[in-house]
Amino acid sequence: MVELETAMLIASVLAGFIVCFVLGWRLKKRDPAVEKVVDTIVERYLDERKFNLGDLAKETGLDRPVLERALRRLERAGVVTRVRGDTYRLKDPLVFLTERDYDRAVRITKDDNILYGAYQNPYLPRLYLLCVYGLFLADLVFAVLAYLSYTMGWPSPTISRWVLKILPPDKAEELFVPFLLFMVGMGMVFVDFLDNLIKGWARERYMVIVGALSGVSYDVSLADELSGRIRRGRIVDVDLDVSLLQKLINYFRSVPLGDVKVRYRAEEGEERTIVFRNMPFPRELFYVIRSVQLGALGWRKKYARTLMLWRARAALPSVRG
Amino acid sequence: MSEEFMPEILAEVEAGYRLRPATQVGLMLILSLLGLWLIYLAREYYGLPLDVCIIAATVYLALLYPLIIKIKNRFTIALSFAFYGAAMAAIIYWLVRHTFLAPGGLSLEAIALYVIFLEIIAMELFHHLCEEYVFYERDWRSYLLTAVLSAGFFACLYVFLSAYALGFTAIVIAAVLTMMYAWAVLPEKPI
Repeated sequence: MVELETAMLIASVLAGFIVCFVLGWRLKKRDPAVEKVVDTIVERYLDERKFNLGDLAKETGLDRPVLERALRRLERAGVVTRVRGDTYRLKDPLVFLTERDYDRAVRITKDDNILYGAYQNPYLPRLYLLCVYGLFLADLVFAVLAYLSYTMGWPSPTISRWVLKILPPDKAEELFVPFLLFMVGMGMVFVDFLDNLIKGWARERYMVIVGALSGVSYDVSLADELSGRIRRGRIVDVDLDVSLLQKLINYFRSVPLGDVKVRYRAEEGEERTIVFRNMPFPRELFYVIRSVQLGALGWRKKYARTLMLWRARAALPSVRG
Repeated sequence: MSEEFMPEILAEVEAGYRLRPATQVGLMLILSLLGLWLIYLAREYYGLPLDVCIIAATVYLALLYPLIIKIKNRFTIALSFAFYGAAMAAIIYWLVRHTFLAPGGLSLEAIALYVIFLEIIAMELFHHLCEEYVFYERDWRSYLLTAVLSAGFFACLYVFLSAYALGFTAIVIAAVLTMMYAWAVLPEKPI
């Protein structure tokens, strides 16, 4: 017979499961207003990219509050961006830059149509695996060993004695378990902190954008303003290079990564190769550079709705193009 | 001519990088069974209590699910939320039953450490399982939630550090760690 305590635990777990399932299910229900806005934007504003709330209200036939709510959701999903007042700007779905960097990119490329924008991350995946997750793993192993050392004396009582020594003497025994949990928790926070630092550094240093007319532009130093340039006429070849490690990581990480090599003719006439390391969605970057090189951008219009719905999946994830 | 450059996008952008859906489900089942079997062995050979086994199994499945299952539809996302609810319910139950309601009660410092752990685990599991709702785009709601959680974190940490009689240093350490925590609550985008 299951004890009452265990039965209560099972009931709690089941209750948490069911309540959150229903919550998640309800949160992800279809939003016809958002879909209508996406359709209208794709149909009308794909070329000019800027649109006004009033015009959009007329075209969609939606009330202003409903429209504003839908635009807020699309803004959060990174599909549109508010320029000023009631004016919005459409972002290409393959632009993963921060608002500040997107504005910078648009300004520097003289309002070019940015088809792809993201950051290289040269530290991925080795630094992440070794330092970031390695640190947390070490922290977790230490906490487990300290607990085992405390309860069973295995592998050695020294570990728990050391932990007990650093706790306030009068409450050491009582604080032992909560302190180990605190250590595990702080390990997670520290990993997040390092992760954010690495991303922040990458953002300052490694922006790469592809413009419909300007070609490939990229930062070459910390204080750079996209001075690395490969004009579209100078692109000789582009190649996608996803290593085994990257492929494995892509199965499990939220953002797929890979290297993209671009061979181009320099001003002096000689051919050079540049490698953009650990670019998010590398196949799409490859396709974008290839299509810019060949001047074949028809796909953008043809698959605009699919791409926007994919990007807006936080707003309407159950919708397929 | 243009279509040939975007074949991946046609299907679904992320699908090209992930394992096939059937493989994802298969791998999830295999790893789940493997984990549950190990927990069972721990119970058999080391006498792990049943409630600890249930909690470990729930948390294990919650950690595993978003790593393996990359299919995004209404059901899989709702299931992800469900695992979050189940894991949090299990952790909260364990904390309440075995610590807060333990005979003799707890000191203020111990309660503070448990609350810190709960705050961190709730936030980290949310990031792990409900990624679509993480505040990557900052607005007043994200700042308000971060402020409330950080204030609680700072207060609890200060209570714990006060046991060392560090004086002003306790405030400095608590403030630095709280800043780290706040930045973890408000994460940078994954790209």
